[in-house]
Amino acid sequence: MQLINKKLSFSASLALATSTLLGANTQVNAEEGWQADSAVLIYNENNGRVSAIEPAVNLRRTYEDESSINLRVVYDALTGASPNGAASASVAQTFTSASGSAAQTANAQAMTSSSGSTSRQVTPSPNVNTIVTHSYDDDDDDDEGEGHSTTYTIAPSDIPLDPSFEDSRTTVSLGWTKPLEDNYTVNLGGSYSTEGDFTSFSVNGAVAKDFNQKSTTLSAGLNLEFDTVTPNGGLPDPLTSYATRNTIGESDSKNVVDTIVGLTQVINRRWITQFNISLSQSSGHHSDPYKILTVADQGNLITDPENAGNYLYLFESRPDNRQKLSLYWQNKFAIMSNNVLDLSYRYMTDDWGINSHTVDATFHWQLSDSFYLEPHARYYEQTAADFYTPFLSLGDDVVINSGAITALVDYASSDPRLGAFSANTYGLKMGFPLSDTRELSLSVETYQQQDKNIRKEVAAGSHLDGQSQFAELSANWVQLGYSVRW
Amino acid sequence: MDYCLQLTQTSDLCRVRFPAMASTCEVIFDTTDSTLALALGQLVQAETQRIERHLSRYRDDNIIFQINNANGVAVVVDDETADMLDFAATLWQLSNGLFDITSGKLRAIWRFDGSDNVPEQAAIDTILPLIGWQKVQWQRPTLTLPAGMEIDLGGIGKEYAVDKAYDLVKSQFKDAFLVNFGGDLRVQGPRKNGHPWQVGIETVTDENNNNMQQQETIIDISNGGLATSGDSRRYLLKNNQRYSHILNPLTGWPVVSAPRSITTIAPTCVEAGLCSSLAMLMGIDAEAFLEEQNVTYWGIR
Repeated sequence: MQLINKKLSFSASLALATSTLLGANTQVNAEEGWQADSAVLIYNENNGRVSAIEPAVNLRRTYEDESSINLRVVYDALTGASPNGAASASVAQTFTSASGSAAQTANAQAMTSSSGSTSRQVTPSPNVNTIVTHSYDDDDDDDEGEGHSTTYTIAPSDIPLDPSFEDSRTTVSLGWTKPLEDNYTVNLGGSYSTEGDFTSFSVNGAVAKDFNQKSTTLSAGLNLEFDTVTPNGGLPDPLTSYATRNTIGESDSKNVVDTIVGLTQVINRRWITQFNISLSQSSGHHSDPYKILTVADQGNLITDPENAGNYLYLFESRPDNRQKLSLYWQNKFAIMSNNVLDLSYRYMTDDWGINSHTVDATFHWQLSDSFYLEPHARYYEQTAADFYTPFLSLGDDVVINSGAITALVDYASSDPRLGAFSANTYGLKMGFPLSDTRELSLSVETYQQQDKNIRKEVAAGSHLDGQSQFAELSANWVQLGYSVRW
Repeated sequence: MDYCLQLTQTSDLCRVRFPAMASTCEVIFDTTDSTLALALGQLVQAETQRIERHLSRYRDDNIIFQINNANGVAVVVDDETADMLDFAATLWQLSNGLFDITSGKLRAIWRFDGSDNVPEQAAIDTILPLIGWQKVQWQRPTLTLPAGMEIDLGGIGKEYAVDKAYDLVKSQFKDAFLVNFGGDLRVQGPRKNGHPWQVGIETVTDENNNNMQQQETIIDISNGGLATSGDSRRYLLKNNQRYSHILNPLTGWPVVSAPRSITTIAPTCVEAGLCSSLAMLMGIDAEAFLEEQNVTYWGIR
């Protein structure tokens, strides 16, 4: 028979066809069920700065038609000290904060999006439909804080940190995903976050369409965010005396519109790539109500003309609008049978003058059915915002005429998150799948910033001479996660 | 008595049985946890019933019905059906047309009821134009079947369901188990006691006045699929010529000198099923084909 002539290829061809048949649609019929991911993250900045404990629970219900509902609740409890923005000097400085410190969610500075999530998609899914918001946050975004009125003195040469920082934040997010006809998938969601002086509400929607037998996915999404900041002690008047503390109201708001367009392409069985462009337009109040700047004359602290006995510090000021453009490219490579290399690069540029690059690499190394390791490395760098300065100079930035303080600049901030720096993150996650439905994981990460700012010259022997102009942040965190499906 | 699902617990095993795909379907778990066995058994039952609903040609509410009644109009099929059609197309090519999912029409004239009702060539000739995968236009995901033609995935459906059941259990159960849908099976082993699964198959028969005396051979199997093709009770007998129920889609006639049955072992049940059915289609060359392919098999002639 002719068939026998094909004997060399027949068994192999049959095996190949069978593996295609049985393998190809394992994802087609989603199992109905629940998945719960829980995690506790303990975050600690070095040198007695912010500490945070963040428990998180993510609950997902998947239905037979592959639609799913996702509920996520995250609670942050933060304590510690945070830079107030004043420059360190060779003399002791005393601050009286009406409001407590700048709860700058310093944790967001170093933590990555990994917080709270313990499950990892080992197989790259071509259906990446969700809106990718800023998955990391080295650059500044949130200005929120709460504390108690307090007076504190900073020793000479120490970085001025407001020590009385205490805050808690609860975030609840709800999402719904449903596959529609003609390979469309729709995604709707919302999120609410609240803490003492800051609330944020957002809604998002996205549509994705699969092409070429699901090997190509195009998606478009929109996210609208409404923030309200209600600082303790009112909203300070920008670029006016910290000690005088003029206010311009009780609260203010900020609206953010994010649009994102993405393309996901399965290149072959071992490589999936994703490219996103997102545009973010933010308008409203961006200044951090708890951040101040030192005013120095030839490098020396000067007396506040409105408040004798106090050095002069001004509340910071930021533009009312910010536009950001992000390009994001992610690749996942399947290596051997169960290992995945995830490489991504992000470029972000905004009209404040900040340009950033992020390179991130994670390797999922499946050592056995019941153990995997995930080394993680990330490099980040950004340029400074145009209005970033470690302190203001009398004469150039600020003038004092007959006891009246006049700022010559419209915007100024010494927030380290707006400065130039690079940062390295190294981490290791250990995963212990206890069964096919339960997994325990532990990850540790360490983060270190390096100052990249051009040093501002000061007169020799002055208060600011030889002092640090940038508070480099270093932090460590540990996360314990447990996830279960049923 | 009708039943939906039957759970049996022995000293070291749990067994779940349910009727589906015109067979008794069973899953044997190497555990005494009957709650777990029942839960997994219900999952398997649901999946099996889903596949049956989805791919059966005996229903009027599924994709197969749509395809078979499209009257020449193109039908867009779902992913799972498309995967089956891709597979069928590949196998049709590999087998030079012997494996053909459009051959089911022949059953309208061939009824293997043990009688001597062999149809006339004229009747076969009216059916043959409606058979042949080469007449079908398949451009995933669109299938266009000439009016009057039909497809039937029954030739691989049960084996496919066995493998899907296996995958489903495997993803949630770490010990040994055996999936057996009417003699087509897939096992995961070895068992906790260190032994492979033991499967009994009919191998040797003595024919005395058409009285079959069957002898059972026990096969040890730790991993893989096993399937049997052929059935000694489905045939026609006319003028002392025995017509097996295995029909050659190219001629419209039963395969001449096919074995009574062939049982093969392969990594998956689908592969085992395909090897045994193709061997049957080879007729007198069945065993030679299997030897050439280096397939482990047991045949009855």
